[in-house]
Amino acid sequence: MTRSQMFEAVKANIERIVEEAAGREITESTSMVDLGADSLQIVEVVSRSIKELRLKVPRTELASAQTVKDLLDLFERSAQQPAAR
Amino acid sequence: MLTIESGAAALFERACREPLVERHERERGPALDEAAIRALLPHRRPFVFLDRVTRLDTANGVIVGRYDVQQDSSLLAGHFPGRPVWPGVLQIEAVGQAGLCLVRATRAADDGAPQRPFQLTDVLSARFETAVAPDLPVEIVACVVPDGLFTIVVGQCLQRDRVCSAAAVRGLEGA
Repeated sequence: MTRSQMFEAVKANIERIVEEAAGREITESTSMVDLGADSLQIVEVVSRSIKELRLKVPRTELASAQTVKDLLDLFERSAQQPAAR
Repeated sequence: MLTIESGAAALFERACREPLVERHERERGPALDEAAIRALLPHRRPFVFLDRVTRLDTANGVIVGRYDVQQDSSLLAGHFPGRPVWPGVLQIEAVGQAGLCLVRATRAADDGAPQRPFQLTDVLSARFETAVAPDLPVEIVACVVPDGLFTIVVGQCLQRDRVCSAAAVRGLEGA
């Protein structure tokens, strides 16, 4: 799975979940908070993304992800360690 | 707009139609008494809607409990005067509490780790088929379905082996 595929999954879920993101550009430097997402919407985006990408990411590490880039970095690390929990 | 995850959706549809656990299986144990339930739930009376657990199957993610609705006589006096019906919101709450018992009992069985807070985030669906009569205990069946970072609880309230209601709620552990 490439970083680009991960980005597309996260971007699609942001557009699906965060109404305020409609029509706005989403890049790796985008912060979901700045897009207007509340905490539950952020969890929803992450939850759907890891399900679709079949990743297992420790909840404790997710809290530190502020931007889409942070999330993708985390996803990449998890993808390299599929058995890690 | 939220939709129910597909596995949970099928379970919810089944919960609306028939008991999720056969009658003879619902009292197979292991059982939990009120003290054991209190150790798993943060709720306290008068807002606990499980008197005892009659079946706890952490391996298959199923729990069955019982509740004596007559304890809520002061509520039933107003809901409704002359025609007492156990409120639907309490039926959803009972399913949620049974699900939380199961989540926490499963965690304790898995790793014995300390219990983490659990936040209810969504009522995904609920259907009320038949009124819960106040003069009979209600049986609460709940099943847990993982959903990414969330946990979905699908359950039902039964009386005389008939489905009174079904509910699907979702929550977040460690919130």
